[in-house]
Amino acid sequence: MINDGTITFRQRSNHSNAVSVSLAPTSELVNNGKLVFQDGADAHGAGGTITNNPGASITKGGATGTTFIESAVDNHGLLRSESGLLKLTGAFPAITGSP
Amino acid sequence: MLTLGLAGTQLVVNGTVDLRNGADIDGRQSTGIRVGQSGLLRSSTAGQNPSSVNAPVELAGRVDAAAGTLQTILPITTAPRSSTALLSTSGGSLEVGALEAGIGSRATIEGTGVTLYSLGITPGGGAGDIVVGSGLLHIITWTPKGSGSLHVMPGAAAEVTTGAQGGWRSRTATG
Repeated sequence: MINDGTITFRQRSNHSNAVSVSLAPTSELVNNGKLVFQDGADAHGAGGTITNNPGASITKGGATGTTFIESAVDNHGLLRSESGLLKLTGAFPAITGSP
Repeated sequence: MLTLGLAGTQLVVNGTVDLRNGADIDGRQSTGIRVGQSGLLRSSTAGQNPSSVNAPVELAGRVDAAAGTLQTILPITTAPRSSTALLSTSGGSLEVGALEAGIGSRATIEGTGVTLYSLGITPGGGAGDIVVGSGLLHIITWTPKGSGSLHVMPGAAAEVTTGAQGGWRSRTATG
């Protein structure tokens, strides 16, 4: 998947366990634009990778909830939580160390 | 209501099929509708109810909601190796039960007011591409799989809503 625009993942409050996107093993979401996780929207799929390229952003917004990103995040751009908790539980290959 | 009642019946659209005032197509028992590269399947007036297409659609041409709401309940599949399939809005709303881009094919989505209830990029190792060319695409269920791609172009947007429910969705074949 390639995002050169904006993709917003939005979680309905009455479906708290629902997954917004589930990346299959070895699949990749390449972000050259804006990825926005609202409220508790999550990205599952431990074998998948989100590549956040220079100039691109991954943002956690919304007033409530925790966003879990289970996929690996290869970050060369901006990761930002504007509210709530953005929790990266997968690999973070762009740097050596923990997320 | 246009009914494709006989098994094996297929409606081939190389011109324009205009659904007006909420008119429907029921082709659940048929082979479905094949919209050729020059074909156009559209809703052109707003009825009290949506126009509903309840038949599988093989698409090389265009499905457009010019006015009112156009629903496709059974899957829309891109024609083999076609790169011309287009789903669009030009004044109305388009609700797509399921969209599948097959091997070597591409579907383009343009305009604001398109909702996909189930988006697949299959089959298996297929290289089908779905391109959001402009506007805002609303996706209810998104489970990327296969080797195809979804490409949101610059200036375009997609919004994925988790766990959305609605009366219409319960009518879809894909659940």
